[in-house]
Amino acid sequence: MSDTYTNIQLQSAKTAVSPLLLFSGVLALLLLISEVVWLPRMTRIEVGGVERSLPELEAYRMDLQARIMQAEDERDAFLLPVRDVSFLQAIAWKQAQEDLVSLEESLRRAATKLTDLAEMVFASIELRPADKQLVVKGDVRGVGPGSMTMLAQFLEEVKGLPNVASLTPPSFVRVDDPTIGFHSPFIFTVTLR
Amino acid sequence: MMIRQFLSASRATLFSLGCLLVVAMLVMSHARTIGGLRANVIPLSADIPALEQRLEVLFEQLKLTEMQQALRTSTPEERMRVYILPRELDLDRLVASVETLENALRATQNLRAMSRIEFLEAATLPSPVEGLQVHPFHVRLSVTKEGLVTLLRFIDLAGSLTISDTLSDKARERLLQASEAESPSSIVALEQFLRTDLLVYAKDAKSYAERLKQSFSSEQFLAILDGTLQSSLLPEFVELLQSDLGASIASRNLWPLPFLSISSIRVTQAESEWRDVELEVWTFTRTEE
Repeated sequence: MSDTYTNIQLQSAKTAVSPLLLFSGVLALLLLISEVVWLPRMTRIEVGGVERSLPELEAYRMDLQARIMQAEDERDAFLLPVRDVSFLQAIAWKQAQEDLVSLEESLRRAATKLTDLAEMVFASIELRPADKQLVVKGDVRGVGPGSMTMLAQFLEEVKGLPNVASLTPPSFVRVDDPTIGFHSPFIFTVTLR
Repeated sequence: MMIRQFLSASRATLFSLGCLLVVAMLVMSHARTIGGLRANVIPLSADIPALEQRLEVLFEQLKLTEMQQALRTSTPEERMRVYILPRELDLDRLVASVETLENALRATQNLRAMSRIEFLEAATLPSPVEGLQVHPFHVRLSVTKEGLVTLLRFIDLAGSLTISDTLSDKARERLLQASEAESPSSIVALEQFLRTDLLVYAKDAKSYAERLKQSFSSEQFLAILDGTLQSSLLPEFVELLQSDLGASIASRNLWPLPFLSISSIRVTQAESEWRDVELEVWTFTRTEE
């Protein structure tokens, strides 16, 4: 009895699976044909009068970009009157160096931003372009006992200049001179960008 | 028989499941392809014609510059190798250049004292540029602010030969891109302008400017060119070369000047308008042909 029941169940299962098998088999076949034949044809795009698939278009764009870079390099080389590599590098290296006059002007502008009373004396300015170092020696005068504060404010202004990467602060000292009154001599080093 | 039926039903089920798995994978592949198409087709359709056009312009410019090269006879490269970066240190020319600067500054009363020129030991100094050997020398001067500016501009100028040498790579690139928009053939006029000798240009800067305006029709290109030149070292170099110092350089046959560059400079405030300047300057020779 139980064998017959199981037999019937198996027969039913086999009958139920057959349409599913047929359907999934046909669907898989149709989708495979679509993937191989129909989709590549339908996804070809015409650009500039030529039909290409998406991967072909992307490869073509990369090829165009590479050829443009090569043509630019060749054209740029022709434009240079002197093509010697050492000469071009020497010129570029020199052009990248900071100009002392501009730096000094930036420092003076930073000083005059603070106050009219302050007298920022720049005793010496030393520039080492290759090391990108600027050493400034000077004195803050004419502001009375607040000379160290004025110096600190000046250093903040200098730190904020666009071509300044960092600043090594000086020692802060206030000296009372019988002739010039309170003053703060300083020497600090700036590292340029 | 039951087992056979069971196995048969199982196989059919498994095969159906396999087919459904394949169906799922193919549907995902379709979705990916169509999704990729939607995402990329518009940018690619826009990019490719523009790239093709740009390539065409570049090829045309390349053809024109190659033709110009074939017609060329003068050689800035040779002058550079002989005078600016020679194989051997040309002491005579170098000292004469510094002396010319000193004379010009004294004549305008912008210099009151100059020390001897002391050459320093060069053997161990690493060169910042491959293929070049450094030759440092030391000099001290007492100059006014104007004298200091002239001194620094002179050193900036020393080693430059053509208008191209006053421009940075970025500035040249900007001009090239503007010339593509102007017309491919404008590159010939641009190239001729850039290879103009600085001393020759300084003697007649106005007529060169007029010639440029005639070569380029677009106001936009002329504005870019003018802006690029004004922000370069060219105006300062022209001013120096048009001065008595420039005339001395020309009359003593010192053009182009040997390559000079500042290694270190210290400016100390002296009395009144005077400044004491301590300079270490580098000049270079070539180590390779």
